[in-house]
Amino acid sequence: MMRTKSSSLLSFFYLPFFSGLLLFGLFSLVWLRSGIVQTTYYVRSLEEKKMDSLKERKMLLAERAKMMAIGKVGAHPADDNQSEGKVAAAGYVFPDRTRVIHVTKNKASEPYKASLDTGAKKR
Amino acid sequence: MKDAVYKKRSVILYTAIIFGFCAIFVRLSLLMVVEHKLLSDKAKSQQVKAEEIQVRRGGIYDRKGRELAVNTELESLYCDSRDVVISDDKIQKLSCALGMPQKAFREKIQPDKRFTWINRKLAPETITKVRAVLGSDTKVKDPEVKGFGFVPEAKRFYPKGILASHIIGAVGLDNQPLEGVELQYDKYLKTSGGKVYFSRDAGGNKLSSGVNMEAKGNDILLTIDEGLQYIVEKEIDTAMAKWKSVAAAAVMMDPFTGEILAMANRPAFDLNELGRANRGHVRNRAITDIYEPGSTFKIVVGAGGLEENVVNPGSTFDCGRGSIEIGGKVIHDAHRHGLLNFREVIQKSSNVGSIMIGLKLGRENIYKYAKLFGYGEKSGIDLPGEVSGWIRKPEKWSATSIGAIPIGQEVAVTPLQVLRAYAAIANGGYLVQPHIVNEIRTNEGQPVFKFSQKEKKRAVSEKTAALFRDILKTVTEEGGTATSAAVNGNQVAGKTGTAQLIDPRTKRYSKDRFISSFVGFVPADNPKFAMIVIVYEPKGAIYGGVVAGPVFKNIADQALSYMNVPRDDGLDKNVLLVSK
Repeated sequence: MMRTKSSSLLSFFYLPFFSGLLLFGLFSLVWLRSGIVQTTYYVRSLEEKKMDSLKERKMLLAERAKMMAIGKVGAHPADDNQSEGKVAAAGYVFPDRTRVIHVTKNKASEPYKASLDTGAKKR
Repeated sequence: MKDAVYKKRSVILYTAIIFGFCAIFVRLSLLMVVEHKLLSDKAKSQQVKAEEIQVRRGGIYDRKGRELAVNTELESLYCDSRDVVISDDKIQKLSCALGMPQKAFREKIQPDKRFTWINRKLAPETITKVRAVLGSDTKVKDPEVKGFGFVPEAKRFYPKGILASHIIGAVGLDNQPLEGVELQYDKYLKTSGGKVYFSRDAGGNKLSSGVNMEAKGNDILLTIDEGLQYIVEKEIDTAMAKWKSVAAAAVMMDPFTGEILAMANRPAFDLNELGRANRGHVRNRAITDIYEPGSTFKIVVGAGGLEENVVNPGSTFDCGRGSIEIGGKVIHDAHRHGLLNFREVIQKSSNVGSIMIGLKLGRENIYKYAKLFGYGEKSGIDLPGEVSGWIRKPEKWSATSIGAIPIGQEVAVTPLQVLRAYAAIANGGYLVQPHIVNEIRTNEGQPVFKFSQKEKKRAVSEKTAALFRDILKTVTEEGGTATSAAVNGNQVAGKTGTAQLIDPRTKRYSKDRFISSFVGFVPADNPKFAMIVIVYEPKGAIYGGVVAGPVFKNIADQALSYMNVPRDDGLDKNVLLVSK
């Protein structure tokens, strides 16, 4: 076979190029695979952190629910250690029924008016 | 000559190379084809691990979303007895940390088992101490200790302690339901688990599976309100202490919807300490205990008489003798009255007058209206253990029954049945379905179940209900038996009950053991709730109006304030009503 000068130039280029490409491909595969495994490890550690956080959250929620119990808050008017701030925060309110303001919602906006309407409604 | 030698050597070399490649090929074929299954299974068993999904029960909440039952995550200590290595010093430290006697600890690690529980669901502080002793909180394992491990487990926690204990119920050590809503709605609260398969590396470290390792059951929203429940429990505690009674119960219900707003029994128990509870304290008296209702049963002859038009509010009855004889038995009034009209018979709770109404109504009608008001059958409340009570059919009545049943003797009812009957008067004549669960939702908030009232059964007509309601109002007014139950600012309608208990020795009515009760609803014309209060065997007083009436008043005062119910007499000069 006769070799020309140009074909020897091309083979000089192609051989290292495709060898390099092949090596690069193999290397990329290995790189990606190790990256995936590394990410899997990372995700696993995040999952463990998540489980620990959830565990702690449950304990805190339970503790909070215990602290917010009406018996603990002492929200009852006859209880000792009553604190209005605690009452409001805990959601247990015992308004004085002798001095009460009833506000009824009307659909149309109207000026303020005062009346002696009891506002009692029948079901 | 040389060529022949070279040729011979190349043949040998090529043969060796080919032979080598053939050997490799054969070996690879053996590994990848013949032994493929065996080797891949072995690799899988090393690389792939199965783990159970942690299953958690759903939460239980009150009607405003406040937590009543939640899960906490604890750890349980186990040992593999065959692999246990532990020094005496460590045994001492470990048993001290666990709060166990050393002997008991040694017994646990003796059995030749792969798995033995040492202690279940340890408190976080105990876990820390145990881990410090075992050295499992450090990266370098303690060589003196081997064969112990921790398993995460969920523990049910009831943050409100004793509150609503009979409603919520409890679970056992393995989270199996035992009582109350936990038992009744177990199929909704629990969920199925399953297994998750994930890969491990050569060091045994788990890789991510991408699957949520926890599965939670549905959440349940009850109809009760924690605030109202607390008020009720506090007041019956006060009554128990005051009257030194054996037990007490109270149930508060919305008379229109049947929603149970509060249900309390005493004695009660702490749900977090079920193991220490007295078994007798665990039962829900409001639905499991029957008693003779006494005068509260007069609703049957009263409302029935009006409905059948055998009486009207103006009908008069001569109760001047203070007693009446029926079938050879004499029944007395607590106090002698003169001529009473129908209204006054109920207001003053005259036994003589009630029996006279019963005689006019007849045994068939008495039985009919007792059944219409729900007596003698279960209410169908969604709690376990409800009993139906009983009332005998007319053909089985004795000669004295017509004198006993109208005044609430010779019948057995539960407190909830009595409340339900009076709720029918409150709501215009309908018998509602009491229920404790309002809604069930998934963990993500999607509705699974919402209670809806079935077609309501009519007990009496609206007219009769309105008439009888007006009469019941007089019970808490001057001249009535329950002025102590009157609430400042709103009218109460109700009825007292004072029932004798049977003495087990003599099999006759006891002279000193009574059940005092009051059942009513407020505000009378537009009731926000109906409630029954029962005090079992009070000492020092027996009448419902004296013992149970004040409890009703105290609860109602606070409940009306809590529920923001305006007063009926809102025209006080100090009150300004502003509308926008």
